[in-house]
Amino acid sequence: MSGNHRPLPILAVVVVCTLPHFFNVILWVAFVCLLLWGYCAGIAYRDWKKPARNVTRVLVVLLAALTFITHEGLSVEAFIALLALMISIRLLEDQERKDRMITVILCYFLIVAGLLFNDSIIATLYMLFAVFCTTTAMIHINLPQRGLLQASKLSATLLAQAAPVMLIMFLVFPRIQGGIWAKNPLSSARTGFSDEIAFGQVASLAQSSDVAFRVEFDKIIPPGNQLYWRAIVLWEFDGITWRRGKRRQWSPPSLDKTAQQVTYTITLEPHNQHWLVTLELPAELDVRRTWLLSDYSAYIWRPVTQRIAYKGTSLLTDASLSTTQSLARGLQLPAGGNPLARKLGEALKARAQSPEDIIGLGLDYFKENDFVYTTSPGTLVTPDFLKKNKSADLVDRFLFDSRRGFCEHFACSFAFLMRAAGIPARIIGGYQGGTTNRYGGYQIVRQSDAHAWCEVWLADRGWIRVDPTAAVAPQRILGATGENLLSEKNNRFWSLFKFQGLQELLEPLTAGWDLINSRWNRLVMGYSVNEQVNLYSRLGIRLQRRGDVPLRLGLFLVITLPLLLLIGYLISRRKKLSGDRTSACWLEFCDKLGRIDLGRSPSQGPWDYMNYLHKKRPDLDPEVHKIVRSYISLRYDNRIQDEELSRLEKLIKQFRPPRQPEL
Amino acid sequence: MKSPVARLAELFGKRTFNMTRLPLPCILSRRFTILPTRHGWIFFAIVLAILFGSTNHNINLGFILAFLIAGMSFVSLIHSYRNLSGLTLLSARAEPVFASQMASFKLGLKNPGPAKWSLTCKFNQSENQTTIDLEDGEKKSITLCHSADQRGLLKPPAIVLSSTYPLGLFRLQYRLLPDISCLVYPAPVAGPPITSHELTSEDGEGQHSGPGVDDFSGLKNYQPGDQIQHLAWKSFSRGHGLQTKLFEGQRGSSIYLKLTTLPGRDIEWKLSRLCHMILQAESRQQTYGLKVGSHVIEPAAGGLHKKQCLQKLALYGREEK
Repeated sequence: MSGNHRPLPILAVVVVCTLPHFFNVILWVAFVCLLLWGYCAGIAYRDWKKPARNVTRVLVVLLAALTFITHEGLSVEAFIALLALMISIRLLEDQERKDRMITVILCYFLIVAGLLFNDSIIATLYMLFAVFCTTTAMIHINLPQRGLLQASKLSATLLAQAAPVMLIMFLVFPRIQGGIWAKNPLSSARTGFSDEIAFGQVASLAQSSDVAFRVEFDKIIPPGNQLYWRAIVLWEFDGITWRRGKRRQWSPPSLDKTAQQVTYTITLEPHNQHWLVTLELPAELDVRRTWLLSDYSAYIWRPVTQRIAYKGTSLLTDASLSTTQSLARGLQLPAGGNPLARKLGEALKARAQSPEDIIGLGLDYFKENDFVYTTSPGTLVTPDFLKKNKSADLVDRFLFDSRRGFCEHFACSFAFLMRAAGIPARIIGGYQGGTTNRYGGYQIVRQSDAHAWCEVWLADRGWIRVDPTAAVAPQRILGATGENLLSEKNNRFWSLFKFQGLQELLEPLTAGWDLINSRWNRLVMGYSVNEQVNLYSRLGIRLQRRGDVPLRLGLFLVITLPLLLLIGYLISRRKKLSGDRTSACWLEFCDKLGRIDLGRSPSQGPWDYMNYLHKKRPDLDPEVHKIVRSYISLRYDNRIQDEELSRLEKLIKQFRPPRQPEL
Repeated sequence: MKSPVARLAELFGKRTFNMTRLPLPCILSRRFTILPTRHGWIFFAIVLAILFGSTNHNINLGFILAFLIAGMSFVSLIHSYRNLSGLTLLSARAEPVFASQMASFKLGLKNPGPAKWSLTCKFNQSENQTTIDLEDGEKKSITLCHSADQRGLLKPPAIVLSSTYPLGLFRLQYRLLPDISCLVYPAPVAGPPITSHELTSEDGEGQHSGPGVDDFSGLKNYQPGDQIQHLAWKSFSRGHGLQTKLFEGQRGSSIYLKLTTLPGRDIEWKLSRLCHMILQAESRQQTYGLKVGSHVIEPAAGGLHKKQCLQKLALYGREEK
């Protein structure tokens, strides 16, 4: 209303909409936002001075410049930071009603920006709450005289009535596969690993309990120690880093068709890389534009920026037939460096009678030389040292000096040894194990299940899996002891509180929650073109996955428009007036005539009104006479008859006076 | 020759709003327009942007949000329809005014149904507006002003009843053109004093005229019907009983104010002068008659007489139109 109206509801809305972004924006932005809000609250409660318009203008320019400096380019984070700052500054200004309205409308943008980072159930519920708050503020700005409570009631009503509209539109709105134009990943900070391993450069494993992917097996669930999830395969070592190598072989892998097959569905969380996860030896993948390479790694044409679900079929065997063409790559070693490791490899080769023996001896070396599995081994050399010396003999340092490490260390050094001994070897990066959800019957694989192991080539068996970590720390491999690292870590955490049993007590809860989350991801967040096509096919409408855009749009309109009309009709239906039926009839009669501009003026009694109508529209006489007489007899005659009343009700129901006299 | 656009607008206007004046009472039912407000357009731009982004990045939550707030704005349309529909304009009255004053129309609104919120009323193409709320079953009257530029019968333009309830994104608007009017008298114009002789010159029967029309001539006993202004309060206070003052000019004087006796050709100016004279005569409690064209009003005094005379002036030459 007036200028000194307290903008507190709007401040609250801005806070509600901005808070979730505090996890995403740079610290100073959050800090400045908090300061601005505090000042705004000070204006409202402590009568602090409002800053002059010039001050806020300078502030806008300053903060915008600061945002551009501290962010790289026009990222989503920069956009959100800018939006949050600008909205917060707007709060300080002396605002008219229309300005406040725009502030609130902009808050919807903030809400949707929050969804780019998180699409869990909690985030969705929070989104609904934020929309509720924003709508309440909008109503409050528009109708300040009704108060906040009424505004929030109305807002809840609007949301509830909009829900069916939203649901139907969500289901039938034409989805376009692959979007409208090429897209960049919306946020850069995603957990997951890239497709190379820098040997010994990671001081400690970041143990994130984020879900990497979920798997549902069709029939057979392989035992835990068989759950090796392949993501990347590394071939080339330059003394420091293991890489995939340049020569990618697109030829499909050869398969041993006799082996047992398992089929499963993987729901992969976004990781902004191209690789897909498969169970160890994939035979088939049901995803569009995917390539299964000859080393069994699978790649999709564009980065996985959103959750995808795909069906896969894998072979349950640890050996794979393979062509020999890649053997030379499997023997590649850097030109120099690591002399001790090379010597050790050669020694192994000399001692062994067969290639299998070399592998066995290699694993024995890890078992017998006090290697320690730890998640925080520290770096082998400092980064400065690495800069000065091209080859730092990292493998030597690990094998003969530190002997402390995790799966990467063991896999990389073992592969080096094998290559030195003349056995083709490669490194597989992926995940191992997973926890079974007790309700959903699916496996959850988390980032903390990330693992690296080796594959070596034997002439008669092809590539076989060797996991050197299992030789050093068998408990690391899920299924051997039924424990994984996360639970170890968690137990350690809980033991601090002497509450070791608590986690087991909570386990059903967490499992149930994950089940709800996974169903949510599958059914709601995973709803896309395919699901829409399936939905239509259930209704008997066949659609192509691509194209048919006019048909889809048409269907969308055909389904939504009548629905909107129906909902509109249901909401707009007037409540029956209370009171006796006779006067309800009379009011409806007057109302029907009122709608064609023949309303009854308050001074007219039924009889006067009838005469007035006779003058205006003699063509309506027969019906009008019947109704008015019936009404008068009901109203003023004591002998009330139910039959007469129902007759009147029927007459009124049938009474549809035309706007113009019929000729 | 009108431009095609103007023609189209005219046609459209006629189609949309049946611009025949309707008898009261008017019920707001159909024939409304609903258009997004400026904020509505901004809101829809944002919904579209969200929808576009969601399609491009296949963000299902974005779809949910976009459809939710779009659905909400759709539902709000029905709420705003329900908010206004059923409202009845029962009556509209306006006291006569002089030209170039503001005519204020008193509109009687009745709300038969549930409460109606932030109803804005104004005349079409007028700046000043009134916003009211109506409780369930409440009757309220509001006053709308319209400038009365010319004498005659002012027929105001359509009354626009609108509301942006509940979200402020749409404006639902009814245009009513009720059959109401306001009498506008000519604006009084002061001028050089005109002698009574001139005023009555036509017949020359100046029975009792002369200077000092309002000279005090005596007292008589009060009779019901005597003008209150003429009561002799001073003598009443002295205990002489209630008496009425008598004035010289009042007795038997029958001044006729005539259009023809005024100099000049501008009829509007003459009417304005006459208006002024009527007002002056009335303030002096003088009896006067009016001869305008073929209409003659016998000399008399008092509020009703004044109104009759002024009405004659207002409608002079405008009747039967």
